[in-house]
Amino acid sequence: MTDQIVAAAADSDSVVRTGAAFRKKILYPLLRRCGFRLRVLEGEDDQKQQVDDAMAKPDVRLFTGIGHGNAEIFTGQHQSPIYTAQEVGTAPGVQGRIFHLCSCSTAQKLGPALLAAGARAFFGYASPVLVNFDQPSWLYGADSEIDIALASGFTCAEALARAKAAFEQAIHVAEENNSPRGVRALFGARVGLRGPSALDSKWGDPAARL
Amino acid sequence: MPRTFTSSSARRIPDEERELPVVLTSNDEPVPLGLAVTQPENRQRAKDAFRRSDSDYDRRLAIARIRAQKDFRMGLLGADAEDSVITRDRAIQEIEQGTEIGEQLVRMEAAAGSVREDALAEVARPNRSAGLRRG
Repeated sequence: MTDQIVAAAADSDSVVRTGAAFRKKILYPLLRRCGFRLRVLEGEDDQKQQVDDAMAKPDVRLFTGIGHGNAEIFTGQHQSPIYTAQEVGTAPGVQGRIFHLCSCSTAQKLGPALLAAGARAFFGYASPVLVNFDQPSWLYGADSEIDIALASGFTCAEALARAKAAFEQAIHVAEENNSPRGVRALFGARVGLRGPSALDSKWGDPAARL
Repeated sequence: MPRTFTSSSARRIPDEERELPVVLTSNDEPVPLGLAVTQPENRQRAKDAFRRSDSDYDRRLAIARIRAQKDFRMGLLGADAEDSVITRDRAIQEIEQGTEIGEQLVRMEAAAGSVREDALAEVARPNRSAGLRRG
């Protein structure tokens, strides 16, 4: 029995550290409670070699990561490249897996490259993701709804819809808490979020489940 | 389904205490949105400004709104940036230089403002209550 979900989280600066802390405290226990075995690669373990080794295991179904990124790269600790659009075709463990990258802009080129390399589905952002330092958990919570929904048995299309609804709810919470920057950060991420849907299969199989 | 956040503990903030976005008048003067829609003279000036909406106006409006915010500081999940913290000066610089981050900031300011504009315009609509009574 090997791990089914590979969860990578950089914590080498103040922005990703808040995301890594949220996932450790909230997301990972929920995924385990749903019955999944996790391989968590945090901090100095969040490097390409460790990710490749974990993804090469046969039972893996989902890679979920938080780190810095741009159109072509998703990075791990100290912004060391984990996946790049140019090299993802030779990376182990891409075929048939679902990818969820919480970082800037990877839906522009890296996401399509992962799908071209055989990934089953891709969730990520087409634009820069800005985080409100006062309440980073609003954004990370809404983003985590993708993984929680998948682990709860929903399809990729349903997971995308639930994440968008979670962003809408978080925007409402930010409004109620008089947080203009919270509202802005959530709006930006909500608009940039991409994933499989019945109307747009560009991002993989909308009916795929974990 | 477990929820990762809740609004149950949120305090209801009165409108007068809210930090509202500004709009630019026809003279590019920043005016708090609440005043723009509740005071007739500002409302007309704001309407005039909204009519000239274009990408350059959106950029200037975003800069004005960022300048008006208290303690502007945000994190960035971008791999290209030397620093993952966006300060007020850097945000304005990114917008002025037309970078991808700057364009995202412009979109965010425009989107965040529109929600409050819709809500406040509804509240401030003249004769709204009279119209309801007639109905």
